[in-house]
Amino acid sequence: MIGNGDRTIILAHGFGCDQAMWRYILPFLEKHFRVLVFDYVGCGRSDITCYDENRYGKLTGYAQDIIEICEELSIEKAIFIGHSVSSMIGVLAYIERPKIFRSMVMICPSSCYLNTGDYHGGFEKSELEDLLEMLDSNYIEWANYLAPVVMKNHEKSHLSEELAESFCSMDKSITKNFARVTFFSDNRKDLNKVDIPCLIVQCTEDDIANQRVGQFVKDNLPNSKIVNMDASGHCPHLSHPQETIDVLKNELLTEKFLA
Amino acid sequence: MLPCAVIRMTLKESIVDINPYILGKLSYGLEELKNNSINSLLSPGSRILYKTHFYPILVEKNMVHEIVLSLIGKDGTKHPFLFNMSMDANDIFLTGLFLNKRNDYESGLIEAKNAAENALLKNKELMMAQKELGQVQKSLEIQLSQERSINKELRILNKMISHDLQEPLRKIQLFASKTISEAKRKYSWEVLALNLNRIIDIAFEGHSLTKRLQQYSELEFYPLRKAHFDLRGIIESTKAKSSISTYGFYYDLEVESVYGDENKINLLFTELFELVNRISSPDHAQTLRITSRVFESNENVLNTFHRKKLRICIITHSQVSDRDTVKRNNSESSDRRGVGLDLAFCEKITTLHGGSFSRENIGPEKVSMEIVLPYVSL
Repeated sequence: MIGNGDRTIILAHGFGCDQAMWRYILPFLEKHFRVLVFDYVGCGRSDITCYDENRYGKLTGYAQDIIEICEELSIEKAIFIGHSVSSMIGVLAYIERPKIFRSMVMICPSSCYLNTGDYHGGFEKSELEDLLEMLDSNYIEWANYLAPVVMKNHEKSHLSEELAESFCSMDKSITKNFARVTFFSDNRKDLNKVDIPCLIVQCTEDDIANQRVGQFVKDNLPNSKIVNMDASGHCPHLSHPQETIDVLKNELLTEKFLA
Repeated sequence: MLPCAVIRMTLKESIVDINPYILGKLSYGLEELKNNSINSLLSPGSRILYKTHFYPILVEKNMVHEIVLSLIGKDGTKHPFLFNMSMDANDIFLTGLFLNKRNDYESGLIEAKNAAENALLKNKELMMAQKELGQVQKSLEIQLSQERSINKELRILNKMISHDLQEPLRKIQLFASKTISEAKRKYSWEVLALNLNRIIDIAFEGHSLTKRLQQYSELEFYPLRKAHFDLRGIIESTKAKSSISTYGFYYDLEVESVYGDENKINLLFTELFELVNRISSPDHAQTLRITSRVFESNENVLNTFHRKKLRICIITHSQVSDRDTVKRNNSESSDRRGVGLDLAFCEKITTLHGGSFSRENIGPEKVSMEIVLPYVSL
């Protein structure tokens, strides 16, 4: 937990990386809020011995991580910001423990990545299986990402040292399982169970969560709003931190989100 | 021509330049790809991995080494490349080596590795299953041994019931036949009434026995309410209520405090005194010596808490009654409570406490009875 403020923000990272993804927008958030950043079990610097294949064989296992952390820290009525798959993990956690949440921000969300019937998730099953093959081809290299890092924020060089050791490094089998559970889950029917204010942050040219998917999420969340960013890609908080901060500033610090 | 792939992109990932080597491999012209996003060239899996994993590292470190990405050629063929990527203030660069043959070799290695991993996993699962099987077998053996002990208990009980119930039924039959034959011989009403009274008494005895049987089977319905209580006190109070004839009680108690269900232990001594009464002749009285000792059990008990046991030993010496010295209790409780099953009660109550009961003839008119209970110090 870092930062100042009466209200709490929970930052939940997506598939492929860890809490370090939030570093560029963290300085803004910690000025206004108490911020909870964490790694899901199996990611970043979490205790890998706690990883249980059965528990994390479903997104509800990851949702349970959020619930357990919040219960441990007595967090209630928090603003939840989830990137990518964490948007749906947040939805599942809300359904299980609504009192934890005040409102939600979903950055590049998708309720289902697979194309099924009229729904255009963006990927065919065979294409997602290609991802698992690519993970196999690349896992040897992942061990090499332990080289020193040149951090842009020199004031936090101690953080740099810590993060250099772990930035986005992953265990192969855990990552494969997380990939499977992320890209083969279908949470479309869960969306209408969320009635708190939700903000969908949609990038242009996002090849992982396309605009039709973002619109679908918006249409199925009863109390939601969508903001289309100029930023392209799937990680605007990393590639376009200032624009992301501006969106959050405009949308988060409103009566609706803070009520 | 450089024999490697070189791609230059803007920070927004639009292709600025691609060298002829890679254009040839993918069967594209430069103009067809210029200003397109790199994503249009990446296979779906490569695209997800690049966006979710390698791109964050590139932004963080400005450099990513040795990543495998597949590019899709104009004809839809996948071409694997081993890339290094770098990022500066204006551009993103990719330099790579075509991995076609090496990829086949690596795919073979990965396949073999996956097969080995799967085999290990299956082996692990098999070992787990074996372990679970072992546990199931162990619990089945425990269950079986419990069932054996219940069976043994039932056999003993059946034997006692059949023996104890046979007697009143035989007597009923005897006196009923006698009554009928006497009625036929026109005996007096007084004799008939006497026989009928005997039948009533015997029927009452049978009824009491079945009531005791019910009481016996209810013993384990209620959980034990254990506490420490005074052994001497409980023996004395039980003795006062019993019909046992004694020359005296002699105590040698190393341990005076017993841990158990007081009501049930009370019942145990009541039954024990009934047992003593039953096995001795009507004209005999008892001298009782009662000892209590703690000892270490040799049983294979994992919990050391239960390794210490308390042995209560009662030795009775039966002698012909001397009316002046015999302490006779006038309690009528046992007359109306029915006979039989006392040994079964003693065994059941000690077993419920996790202990045992045994009886042994140790000499002429001498019987030793031993109660063993788990010992818990105060």
